[in-house]
Amino acid sequence: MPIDDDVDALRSVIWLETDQKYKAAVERFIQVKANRAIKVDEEDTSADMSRESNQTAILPMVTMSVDVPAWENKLKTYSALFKKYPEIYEGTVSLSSNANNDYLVNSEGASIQHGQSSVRLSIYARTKADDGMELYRFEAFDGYTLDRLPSDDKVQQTIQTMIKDLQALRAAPVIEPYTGPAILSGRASGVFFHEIFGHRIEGHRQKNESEGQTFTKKVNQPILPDFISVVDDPTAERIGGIDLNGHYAFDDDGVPAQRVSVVDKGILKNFLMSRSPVSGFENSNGHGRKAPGYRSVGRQGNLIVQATNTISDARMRAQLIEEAKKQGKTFGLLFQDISGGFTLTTRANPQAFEVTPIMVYKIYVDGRPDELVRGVDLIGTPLTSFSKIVAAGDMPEVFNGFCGAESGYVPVAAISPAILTTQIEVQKRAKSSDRPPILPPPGGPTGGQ
Amino acid sequence: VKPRILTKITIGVVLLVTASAAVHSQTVAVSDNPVMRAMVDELKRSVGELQFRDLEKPYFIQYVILDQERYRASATFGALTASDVDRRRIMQVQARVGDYDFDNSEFVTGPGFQGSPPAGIVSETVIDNNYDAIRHSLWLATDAAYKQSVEQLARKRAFVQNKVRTEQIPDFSKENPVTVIGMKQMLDLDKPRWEKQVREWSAIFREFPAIQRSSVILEAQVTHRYLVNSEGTSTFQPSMLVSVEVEGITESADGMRLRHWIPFNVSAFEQLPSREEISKSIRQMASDLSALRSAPVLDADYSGPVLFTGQASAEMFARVLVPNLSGQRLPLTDNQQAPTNRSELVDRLNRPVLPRFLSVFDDPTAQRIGNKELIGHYQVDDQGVPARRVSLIEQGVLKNLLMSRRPGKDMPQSNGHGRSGIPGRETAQIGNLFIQSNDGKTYETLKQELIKMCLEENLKYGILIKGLDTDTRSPIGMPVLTYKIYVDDGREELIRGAFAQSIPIRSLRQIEAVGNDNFVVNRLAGGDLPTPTTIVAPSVLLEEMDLKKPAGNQQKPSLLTHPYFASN
Repeated sequence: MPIDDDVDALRSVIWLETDQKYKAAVERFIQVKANRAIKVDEEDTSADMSRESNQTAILPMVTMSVDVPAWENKLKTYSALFKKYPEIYEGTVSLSSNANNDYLVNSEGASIQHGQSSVRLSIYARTKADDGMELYRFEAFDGYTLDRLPSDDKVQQTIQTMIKDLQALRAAPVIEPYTGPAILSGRASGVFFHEIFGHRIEGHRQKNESEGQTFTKKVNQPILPDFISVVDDPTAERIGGIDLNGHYAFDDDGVPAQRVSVVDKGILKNFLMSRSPVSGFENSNGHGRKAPGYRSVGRQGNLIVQATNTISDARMRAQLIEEAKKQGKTFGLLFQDISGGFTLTTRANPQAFEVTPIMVYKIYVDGRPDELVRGVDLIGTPLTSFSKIVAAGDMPEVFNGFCGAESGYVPVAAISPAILTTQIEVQKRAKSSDRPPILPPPGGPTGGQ
Repeated sequence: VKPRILTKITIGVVLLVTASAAVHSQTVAVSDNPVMRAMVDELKRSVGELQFRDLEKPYFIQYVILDQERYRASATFGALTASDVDRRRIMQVQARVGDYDFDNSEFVTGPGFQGSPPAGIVSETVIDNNYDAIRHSLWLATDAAYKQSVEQLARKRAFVQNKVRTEQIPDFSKENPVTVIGMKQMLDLDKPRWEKQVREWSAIFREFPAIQRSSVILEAQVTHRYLVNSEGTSTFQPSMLVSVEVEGITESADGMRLRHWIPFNVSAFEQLPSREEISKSIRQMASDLSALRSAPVLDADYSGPVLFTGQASAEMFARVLVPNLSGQRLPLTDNQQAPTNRSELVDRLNRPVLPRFLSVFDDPTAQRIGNKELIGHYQVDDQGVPARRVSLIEQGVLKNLLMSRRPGKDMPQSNGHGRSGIPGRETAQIGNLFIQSNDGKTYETLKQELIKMCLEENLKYGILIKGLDTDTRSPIGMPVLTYKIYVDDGREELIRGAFAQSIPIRSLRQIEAVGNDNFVVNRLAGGDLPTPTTIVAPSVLLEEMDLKKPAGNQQKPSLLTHPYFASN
């Protein structure tokens, strides 16, 4: 598309694209009609597209202003902190700053302009254990504008922590496959809920017959412990002073963002809907999202897990030890930080999820100090995992990230307190068999200028 | 008319290159350059110390850093679609294990493996001139490259263990070390000026209602290639490229998609044709494309004489002759389905492959013809071997092939043609290829000969191709400007829809005649960082080739007219 505000040039591009999309749609429509004639009836016969009220909105546009030389210096200064540590092979710090301005018009009369800016400062460092296992730490700070990023001190502290963590991880023992009780920190739990739960309440998955449809028929039935509620709220801008990645004013179908109560006290109430209706849910609730070039589907925005009857960290730790003892285990696990995860939702695959923890500790029942371990992924299946949640903490934490699915990558947040579960399963992580570098880094005792 | 060729012959160990006058130059003492220092120091350490337990040390290590600054501006229908500068440094580390006769290189293994063999480790590195950071990234890449090579060599040894090897040709040639240090060049860029210029050029399409889609893309890039290796070679090579590409797309009333494309590839902004000349070419191209819409379709498959002129002739040689001039020996492979793009001429040395009146040589040391710079020019190739003029075909007889550092049968040394463009596997490729004749004819004579040949074949018309685009889906390029030349009155009629079939290399022996013209085509084809080459060729009259008439169904033309040309 032209980046100049030139109406003639813009129209010339839109014209051709319209022509092509129309021809493709005509072809597709004929195929769909033929398919319907020869295939058995679908279970869900709801309409193909919902009727929505016309929206007209002209919200402020955003622009970007980055002091490039100043930021170049900052990034160099930050990344130079890794220099003193020869065992950290690579340390990178990067900044991305975006100003997105969306324009949407449709033949129903909608006309919407809105802008949103976002920035992300991310830090990555990696090393290897002597057995060849790749070890890394990743931290990111997200915000709507540059002034929302943390201070130099805070960034430097974070880098120092990452270095310490990596040094500790290199020395940490590898854990064997384990099943037993565990605490997931708020951020870890956020990702856990995003994968295991969030993707399964996306509206279009309830209709598509190749999907697993874990919750399709469970509306108004209990699916989570009764002390847990879940909402998805793209209208929320920040929680605990942290800007939320999943905030937006209008979704990519031009429908206003809405706070949706998905689970109320353990009972499933709603799905995340785009303009593709499913039986019993005839309208969008402002969750039709996509990356440019994709077709929007129901997606998460800010998934917020809320709990009543919360307990303190210390109490949760005590309960973990109690539970481990009860199960005859010598330790329980604490998942402190997590880098991401994925899940499979279609019927062709097992209904499973995996999240990738970075900092995992053994909490011993006999009072020994906690022990950092490495080399595990947290795995499981959704229905079993939900039934094992027994308690929640009192402090919500925010995980900001980017979620990839059939409609591309969209920014999301997952917010949750810590949770205690009586049973999780961990499996060994695939690892490289390449040894650490043969020579020490240049500039060391045998290197030097 | 013989082109005047300026050459610089590479003699001796140290060679200082004078950059072309049109480019802003700046002297750089390489010993002070932190990039070069980091490469030299880390190379020294790796050569001295890199060894894993009792395994073999690398016998050859080479570092390449390609420093590239690139500007890209594009526009459609008078409006800018992009204007961005980017800077990157790509690093390549090769650590060969074994020896010159048998090493880890050029071995592909595994079922379904279709790519080329790996050539070390390639990754991006820092763009600051930070000595420590560059050395650090070289260190990691060297470690990875060495481990990869040790593994490859073990697999390759195991593979040959049970094979009868008929040829014992070394894997890598020994070459003399050279130091060739060029001058640093700057991308002297006036962004607002070029933004205005591409808008202006692309707005020309507002005069042509028949054209549906168009683009003008300007790209300017300066690359500096640093190379050091453990044989003692050290080079610093600047190069600059400026290209303007103009594309127009439309469809005829029967729905046939039509595309026309003209490139201007030069070695400096000052080498571009003037603003007015480019505007004129764009108007010509747009009116040719508009004319194509209503041109008749090739109504029957054609088999007969074809006259290629100008750019079409150079493109035809690029597709048919050029791949066969490479003496690049194929990698060793356990995969029966591996693609073989070996030259068909390898076993025809000293035998005729073209008519007697044609000779071919490649000369990367040539810098210009007249006032036209040749973009295939370089001082040392991408393996650090000095460029050399190679006489390939003399009076129709094949005399030599282009060689990289991978030796061939009876061709143990490189002749300075190991090229890769973006750092990667270097293969023998052309630089500036000259196709020359001692018996060139005028256009009118060629046309009369074509008509004569048609009469003998009982054909009502012959075919003239003036433009081929570089589309790789077509074996010789997609004909853009194709004409029927009628036998009865010699009139030329523009046609569309002719699809060129492939031309086997042996057909080139049946070149009937060539022109007295010499068309210089600066050619960039393929990939993110295409290797710049130049082809200098006369028009050619080929005795026989096949063109197919269009097959299959076309999509319906657009339903609404272009909004700019519509009344509402």
